[in-house]
Amino acid sequence: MSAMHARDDVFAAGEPGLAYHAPRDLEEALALLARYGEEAKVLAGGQSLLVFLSQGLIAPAALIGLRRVPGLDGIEERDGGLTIGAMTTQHALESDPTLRTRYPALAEAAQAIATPQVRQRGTLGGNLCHANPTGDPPAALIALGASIEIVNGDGARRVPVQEFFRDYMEPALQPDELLTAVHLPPPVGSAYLKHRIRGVDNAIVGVAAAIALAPDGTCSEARIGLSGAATTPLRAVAAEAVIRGKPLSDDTIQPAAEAAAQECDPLDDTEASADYRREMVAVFVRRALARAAERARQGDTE
Amino acid sequence: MEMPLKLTVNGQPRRTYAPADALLIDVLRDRLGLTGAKYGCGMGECGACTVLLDGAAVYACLVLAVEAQDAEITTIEGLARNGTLDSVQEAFAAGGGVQCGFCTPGMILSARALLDANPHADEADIRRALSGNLCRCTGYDKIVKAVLAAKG
Amino acid sequence: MTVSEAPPFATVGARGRRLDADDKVTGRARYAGDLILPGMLHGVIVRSDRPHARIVSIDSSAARALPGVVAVLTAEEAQGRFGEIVKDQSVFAADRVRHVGEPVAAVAAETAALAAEAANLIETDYEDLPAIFDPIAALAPDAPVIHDDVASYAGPAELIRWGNVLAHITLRRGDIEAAFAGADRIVESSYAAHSVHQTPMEPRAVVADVDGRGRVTLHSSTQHPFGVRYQLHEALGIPLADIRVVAATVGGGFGGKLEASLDIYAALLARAAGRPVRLVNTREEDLANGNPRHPMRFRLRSALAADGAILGREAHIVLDAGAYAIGSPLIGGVAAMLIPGPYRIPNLAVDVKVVHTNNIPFGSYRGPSGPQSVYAVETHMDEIARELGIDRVELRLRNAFEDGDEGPTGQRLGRVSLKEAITRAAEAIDLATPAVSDHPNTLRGKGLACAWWLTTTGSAGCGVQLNEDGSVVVQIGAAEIGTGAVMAGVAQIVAEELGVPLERVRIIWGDTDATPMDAGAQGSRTLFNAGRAAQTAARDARQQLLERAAALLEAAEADLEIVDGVVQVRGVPDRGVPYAELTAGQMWMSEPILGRGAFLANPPAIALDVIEGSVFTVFNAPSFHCHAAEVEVDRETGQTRVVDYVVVQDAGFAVNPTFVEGQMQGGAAQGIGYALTEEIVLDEGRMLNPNLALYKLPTTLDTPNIRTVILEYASDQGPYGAKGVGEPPVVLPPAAIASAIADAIGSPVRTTPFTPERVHRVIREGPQAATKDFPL
Repeated sequence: MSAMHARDDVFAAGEPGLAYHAPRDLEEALALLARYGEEAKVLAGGQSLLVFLSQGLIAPAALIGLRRVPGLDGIEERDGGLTIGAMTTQHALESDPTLRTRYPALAEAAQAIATPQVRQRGTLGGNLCHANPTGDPPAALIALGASIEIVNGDGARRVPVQEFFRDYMEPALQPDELLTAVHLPPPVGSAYLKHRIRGVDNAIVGVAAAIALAPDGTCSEARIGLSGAATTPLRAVAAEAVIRGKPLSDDTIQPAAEAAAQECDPLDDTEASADYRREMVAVFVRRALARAAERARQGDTE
Repeated sequence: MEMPLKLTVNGQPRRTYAPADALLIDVLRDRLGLTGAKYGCGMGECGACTVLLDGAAVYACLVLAVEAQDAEITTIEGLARNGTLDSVQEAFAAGGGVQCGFCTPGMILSARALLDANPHADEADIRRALSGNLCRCTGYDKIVKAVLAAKG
Repeated sequence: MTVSEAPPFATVGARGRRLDADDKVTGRARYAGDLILPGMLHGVIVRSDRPHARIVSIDSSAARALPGVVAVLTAEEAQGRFGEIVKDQSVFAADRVRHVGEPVAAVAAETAALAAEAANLIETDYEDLPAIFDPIAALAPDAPVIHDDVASYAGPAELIRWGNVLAHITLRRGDIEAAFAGADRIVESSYAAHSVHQTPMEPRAVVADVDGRGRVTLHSSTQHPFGVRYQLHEALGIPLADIRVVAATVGGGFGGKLEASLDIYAALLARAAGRPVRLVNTREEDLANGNPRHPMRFRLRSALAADGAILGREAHIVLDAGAYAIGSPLIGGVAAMLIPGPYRIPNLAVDVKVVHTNNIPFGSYRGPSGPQSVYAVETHMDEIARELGIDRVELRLRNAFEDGDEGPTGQRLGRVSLKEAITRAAEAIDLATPAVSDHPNTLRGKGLACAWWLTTTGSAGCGVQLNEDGSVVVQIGAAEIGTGAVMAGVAQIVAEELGVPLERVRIIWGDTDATPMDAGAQGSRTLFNAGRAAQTAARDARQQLLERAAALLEAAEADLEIVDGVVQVRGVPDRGVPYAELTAGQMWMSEPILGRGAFLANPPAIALDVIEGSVFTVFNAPSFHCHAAEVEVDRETGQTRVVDYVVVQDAGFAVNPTFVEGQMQGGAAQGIGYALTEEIVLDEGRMLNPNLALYKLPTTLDTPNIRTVILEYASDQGPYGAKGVGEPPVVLPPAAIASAIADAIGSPVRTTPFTPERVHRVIREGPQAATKDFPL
């Protein structure tokens, strides 16, 4: 074994031209994006991107790391709601007391992501831009009525979160744009439930529900976000319509669950068949609505 | 294209060169001779490459080395102090928490990060904290018990 | 018999610290993939992407021309045949590929990236042939034939082979027709069991070095250094003396590192390049190109008396062997022995067909054929109990093997622990009290399963040397793959026999040049065989020490005792001499103390006329087991969670209870993975889920606390009565969990794994025929 030693002159395995940039402010980041266009990838937490890079599924000319850009990290109360910076880690989300009490669907979704190590590095913005149809935060944000702040050289705009998921793993984001923050409206009763094979897996289905109650106990607002139910995260609008304005009981929740199963178009893969997923959408919409309604009644939102 | 890297590993400044897209695990193993972190999957599923960045457990296969420059990196080689095993290392060795040993460095570092953050961790906390580290030999029982023992 | 009744020993039976523990917890332990040799090249294997095709041409000119590529090899450069049992494998496919992943070429280059680039430049022109992936369909007379003449390959004379059948094994006892004619009740059921992968946390890895005359040294992640050496010799025609296989620290094996897979290519490339070559699998390569567990189908039919006595059993079993035989002919024989279960069944007609398909070759995974067969047999037992209205435990106790019974091939059974195991497991899980769910969405159930298993034989050798300071060096050919059999078990045995503290013992293991021969870490054999050789070697060294001390102390050997490394006259501690004094002069003044141990177990005698076509006919040093489980099933989703699990296992003698428990818990966890989460999904012979996100090993969140009960019914030949303990715990969980699920939902689940979707379907629609049923 004496001949064996660690070598410090190993041949480089990297792409010859790949560049890494760590812009120090938003302006610099946007300038880099404008310069590289589709040749650049934004590195937020990297917990999906670096897998793609290692497996050769992507070959960008540049990686633009956002770690040094100030103002992208953190959870802040604003206008009765919350603003969450794109670089906020999933670990920060799952452990934030405000989120856990007032927006439990998002805290539960963050906690449901993969493993502790992934949550330590992975960010909310990175997760959303990955646009995985079996991701967890997208469903929660749909239910919570979130909007997404997108910035480019010309300024900022906000889009409702469900419009951000254009197609399978394809966000509605131009190459010169950055997702900088997520805005949550004032809280309502919410819950996220995930059905998966192991405790660390992607969703077979995930369902987030958010319920606001009128003084008479009827459902004044309902939003339902689905994971694993289509090629994109999905808002179950037909199911929402079934319960909106109605008292919440088995008689209204069950038809809503069935409506959700009807309006989804689930994935079919080695984890589960589309038929099974459709049935599970009904089961978990029912369970998530019941839990969200319970929280709305208990006033867990304050 | 290789670029200079300035890392802080186990309390020591380390300088080397690597491509911009070099992963932390490759730099640790191939450039710095720190082979305690293992390559087990390359996609953040097995946890064999787990190291600590500023005390938090992360997958070295999913961190760019260049982005680890601003952090204190702790690898399994840096856990024992002055030849004395860390309490988690000792508990694993004494209690049968080690079989083939391939998951062990990552498992120990995840456990160390947990106990530093939460010295009162109970079994459920331990199982959650180690859920990103796969072991194929032990069925986890003696690993979980070792962490409970290390907690003291 | 329990642990507490074991005779008192100083070191064996204690929870000693394994000798490699400290290196493993500090990151110092060196695995094959950690090694870097001067001038080392990186190798890659180019594999078929077709399940069945004729090779029209292979063009490697572009790869050879790439700067930095040092060696490119194809069938032209290596033409030998090899195979574990049947010589049907080539190093590289020459004119035909029979499965996705079959090697067609190999490349060595200055960097891994260059090697991969060169591999991509190799162009193989294929002409697809009709392929077949279902082993039942492969039995049809008009099925495509995967090997033109299976019987033409060199192999054991016992094998009965034709068409796509590489082994047809029959086990017949008594009068099966009469048993069925006289039965009060006949129960028939069928089952399908799936394939899973060993998935040690360390993917396969090897570094090959070569000297100026072409002698190769392999630093390999292997369970079987001597087996790898022999396969290299066979495949490459290299004299055995020119191959040295050194096992590096092995990051788990579970049967996946018995074959010389990467080793052959690393050796070939190193010899061609004249430089060291490293081959390390990515996880994807490791998952897609291994020798995973056999998919199996079962059709079982039992003749029963009203009181539950099993009068006879007829069984048809099919194993999908995939494209090449490797260990499959033998594993089919293991299955035949498991089909009667650990039960007295006087009349048997068991028919096992081991069948080629164009799937990847299936092979040895810890307890080969066990989880599938025990699942089928024990689920069938539960269906019998339900049909007859007899309690599950009662049915088993009524038929369970007892002392003096005969095994299916006539071996005489003694010291049978089965009834104690059943009783202890049923008590531990409180099987008599029905499981009750405290949540409206969930159902709870309890179950149990029984099995017997074996301890594989094969040779073992050991040397024990005393150093001049009285410390001990053990040379042993066995492989320490993580179980502790060598670094805890052998170390404790040597310390015990020599009467020294464990800290004075060092072990060199698994090196074909530096250690005596051993038949490898397979079949639960290491501690039984290598431990026995070590015991003999240590006793031999001890005897030499006693003789020397007797002369020195002028005392009769019979009056001497050894206490903590000191030979003294019994009862007179001040008339003693420490080992260091006995060995201090051994360089010039005395011969070295050199203990020698060699062992080959004697398997029990059998009635040869009852089994035909099998190279596996007896359970050596059999052990008996019972597992019990409690599960919670979500009635709306089918998701199953194991909430309690008990392993009752006969270890013969637990040399180190910590690592016996480690085997019990680790094996059970793998079996739980088989039952609930893991599955190799093949589509036209191609693995669809070759990564650890989709191939689902149980995590801390999916594995319950696994309770253990060690029984000690001593074997005749193992050290201190020890038996093999590695495989049995993986064999029973699918059966125990199936039993508990059936108890919870009221229907048997006749196909594995018990995924949420499958259990959901059974809850909704009742018992399903095994999805891939087959005619008798």
